[in-house]
Amino acid sequence: MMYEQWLHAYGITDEEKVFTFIAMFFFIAAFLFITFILISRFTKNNRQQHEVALRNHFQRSLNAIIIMETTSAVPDSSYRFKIESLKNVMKQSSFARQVMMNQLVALKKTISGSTSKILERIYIELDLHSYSIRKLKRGSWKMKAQGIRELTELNYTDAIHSIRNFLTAKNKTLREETFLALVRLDQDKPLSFLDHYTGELTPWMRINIHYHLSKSDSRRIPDFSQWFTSSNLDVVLFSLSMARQLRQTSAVTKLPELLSHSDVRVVSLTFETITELEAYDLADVVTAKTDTFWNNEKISARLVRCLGRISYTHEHKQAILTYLDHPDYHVRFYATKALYTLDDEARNMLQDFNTEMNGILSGIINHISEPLLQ
Amino acid sequence: MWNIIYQVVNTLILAYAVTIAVSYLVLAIISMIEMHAYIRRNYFIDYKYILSSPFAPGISLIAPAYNEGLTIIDNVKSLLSIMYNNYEVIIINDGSKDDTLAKLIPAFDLVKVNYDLQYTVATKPVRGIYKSRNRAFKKLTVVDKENGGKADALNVGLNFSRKDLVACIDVDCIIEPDALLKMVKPFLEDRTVIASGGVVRIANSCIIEEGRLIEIKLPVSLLARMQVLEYIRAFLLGRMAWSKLNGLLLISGAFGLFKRETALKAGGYNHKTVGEDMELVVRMRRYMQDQGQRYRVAYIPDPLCWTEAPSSATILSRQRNRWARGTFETLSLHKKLFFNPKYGVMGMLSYPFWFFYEWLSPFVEFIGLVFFLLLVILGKVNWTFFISLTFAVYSFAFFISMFSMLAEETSFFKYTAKRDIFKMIAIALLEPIWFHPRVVWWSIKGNYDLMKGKKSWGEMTRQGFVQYKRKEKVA
Repeated sequence: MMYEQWLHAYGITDEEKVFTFIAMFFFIAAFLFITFILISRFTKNNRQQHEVALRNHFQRSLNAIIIMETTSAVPDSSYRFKIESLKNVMKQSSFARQVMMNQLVALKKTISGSTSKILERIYIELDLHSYSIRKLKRGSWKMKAQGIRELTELNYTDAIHSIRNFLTAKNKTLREETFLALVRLDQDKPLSFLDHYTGELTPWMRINIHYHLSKSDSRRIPDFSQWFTSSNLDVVLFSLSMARQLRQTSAVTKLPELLSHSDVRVVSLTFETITELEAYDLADVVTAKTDTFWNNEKISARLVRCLGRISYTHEHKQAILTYLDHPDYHVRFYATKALYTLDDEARNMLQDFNTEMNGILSGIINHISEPLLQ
Repeated sequence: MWNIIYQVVNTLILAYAVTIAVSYLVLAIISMIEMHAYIRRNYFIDYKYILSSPFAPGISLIAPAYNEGLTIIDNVKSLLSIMYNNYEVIIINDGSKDDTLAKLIPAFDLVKVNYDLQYTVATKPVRGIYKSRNRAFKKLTVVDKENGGKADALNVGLNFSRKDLVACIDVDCIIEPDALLKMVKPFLEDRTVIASGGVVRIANSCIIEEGRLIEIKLPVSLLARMQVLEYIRAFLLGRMAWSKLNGLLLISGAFGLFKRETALKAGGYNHKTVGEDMELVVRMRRYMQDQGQRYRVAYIPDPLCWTEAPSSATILSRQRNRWARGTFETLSLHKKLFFNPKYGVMGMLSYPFWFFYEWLSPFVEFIGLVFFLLLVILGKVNWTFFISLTFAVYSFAFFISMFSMLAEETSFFKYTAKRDIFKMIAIALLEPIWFHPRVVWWSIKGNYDLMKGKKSWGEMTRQGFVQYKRKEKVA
């Protein structure tokens, strides 16, 4: 009432009231932001200091435990004492427990061999594996993914069945963590989920899976050609890439079929794979495809590079020669390079062609023969 | 009659102010949510997997250089030490009048080579292509050409590159060592991505050693500090939202990553505009839309690139003049998008937003100011209305600045010194009064110059990054 009287006395209109209210609202909101920033800065600093103190404490204890385990002269009671003291510190708060977890994971990434096994044992002795498994039941996808990551890094293989449930999770990051967990934890068939997988397999997933497979025992790496006939295009592309990168020569016999695949990416990648695996046996098959893909400059470029690697007969070189006339510059470039680098006969064929065509390829030949451009 | 004019002008300006404020607020909220979602996802990413992977796509780093003799050696060394296993550095010497090329040749042991360059996009002639005899600089290529401007130089880089992706950068920017790892990730996660951009930050007064950012500090210059706040607002509270809506029209010319094939098919950079960075993104998007292909333009909120901001009003005015001309040229070239449903979000949302709230806003503000002065002269100002309105507008501006600081504090938290918060609050209080009106004036002048036919970039004199020494701790 008094407020209304005051406004009336000063002739403040409704519009002006609204503006004043808006201004007050935004100033108060801005002030709240500033307060939040200051409090956040303060708590961040405190948290960081606390974390550093905890990490140092945990690191000292872990170092002592690792030394104890590796030098068996130390009595078991000392080991138990260290474990119990760590448990007591972790009981203080979930923050302390998480710092310990992060410390174990960080160490595990940098250590291998028997010391790595010690860390896995400590993970179980401290009952941290239960803590990670409990995270799988949490509502937030981030918690679930964190739990999966911890179980994977600390090699807790008993959790595979629980983790497998997240293969069809809606959240992309959660699905990716699941894939990687299965690749790393499943000792028998690390990529068995590909048999029935219908989702997307991005290049990012390929990089991750390749990274972990290349770090693991080579006996665990499957024969990727078993998935060449998958109905999931991403699985086919993925398997081809992996077979190529891992130089699985056993895949060669299944490659000709893929040259007739309906998807051009598969065809293109198949030519790359043949090139990389140096499958000379398939030179005739590849040569027979020259007419099929003439109008597709990308595949033609791949094909001609492939022939440049695996050609050995005059007919193969003749097939490359036809590409010197291709309308696309890059195809002509790769055809020139293929003939130039193959052998003397191919080089002579190239020079004859160039002379006949009044030096049309001289620019490319000079480029190819430039040592600093190899 | 006068009352009618007064009411109409008042209402229009008010309506404009309300809609622009609501738009900024909505974008700010979306940006904040999306940024934190990115940070949560990033927790699980180990970029070293890309670093060591044979599947990492090849990237050509294209950096045009014009009269960069002062800092070119350090800049190139910095670019050559980026963490990525499959990239090349292409420096385009765009007809420099100084000793840019003369310095590069001995520093990197360069010799001319017989490179068969194809002019897929037409450019000014190339005078020579240089490679190093030293294997340590195998990644480096220097292309010497006749002067043709930044867009022309970038097109030469596009023609030269043989990699799948091209990163177009300003040679004098400092790129974070893991910038390529982060920028390439959207392309790996989503095959429809055709371009990605990152956050550009102000490097003035930061400690830099041999082309590397060692310590981040707020600029000493008041003008540069204002730009820090401006950049944080624009990058953290604007572009993140547009990326989420798939309506991002602008990737900073200082650092952007593009699918080379798409950029070439769209026609490369347009050398007839000074806003070539925005114009290319719009044209690439149009090309994909016209082809009926799904696509996305991604955005990384990570600070990946640090640039020197103008610290004098003269240089800053030239920059803002150019930005205003570039914006209008791009909008004009692509006026077909305006409320065109065929172009989806870009046509119905992004383009109209840029037209009404980025290009038109300086004019609306200027008209508002002129209208106010007229009212003063005629003695018809309702002072309580004016004060309450000004208070509301000012408070909103301050609020948005604080929102952007909150975004910065809860995300990448680069300005860690305690006093920085209070300095930024002071800047936010001063900016609407001291800095913003000048920016408005420079934008209007830019549009006026464009109407008069001005096409040039204007001389952008750089001081070069000052090598601030760290204070040695006393033992």
